[in-house]
Amino acid sequence: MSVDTCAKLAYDWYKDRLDPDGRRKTPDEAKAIFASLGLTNDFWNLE
Amino acid sequence: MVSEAFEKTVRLKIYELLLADGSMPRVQKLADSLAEPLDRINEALKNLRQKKSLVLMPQSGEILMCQPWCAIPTPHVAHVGGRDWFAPCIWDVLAIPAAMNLRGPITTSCPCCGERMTAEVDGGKLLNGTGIVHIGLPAKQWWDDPFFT
Repeated sequence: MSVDTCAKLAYDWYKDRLDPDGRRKTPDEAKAIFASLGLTNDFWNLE
Repeated sequence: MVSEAFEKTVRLKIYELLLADGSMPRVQKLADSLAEPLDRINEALKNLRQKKSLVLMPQSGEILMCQPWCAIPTPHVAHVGGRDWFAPCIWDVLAIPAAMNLRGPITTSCPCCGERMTAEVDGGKLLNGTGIVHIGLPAKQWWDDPFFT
């Protein structure tokens, strides 16, 4: 992927990590983030 | 047995100490800061590892990674908030400014040839920098061996 896409992925993945309720993304949340960036093939399937 | 609430307390304390000190806290410091026995801290850390919230050093049980930060020097460095922060990979180094809600330049290097690479991000926007990010393993395998990943 491009650095630009990776920067967006990094932001969506970690932007709330320091929040009191921040946590690791659930598989569904991860899937939605990947899909929003066009990362939809089986490579990005967490399950 | 520690509660999920306590695990959350430990996780937030890790980040708090990390940002305050500029380095990953040792287990003993976590125990001292939370006024909790070492055993309870270690149990919480093991649970957090099971939940893929962090990575522990296999021998010592100290924290190696509390993503997106890494405890030890790596080629992936975010220059944010007046400090240099190490990350385990390019994805995570781009995430440190995002997590800290700060604009930040990062440096990294090409894993093939070692060429120095730079970029700057702000709120998920790439301000400068070019290149291709290669993720070596499919998502299903990322946590099989986080040291390799």
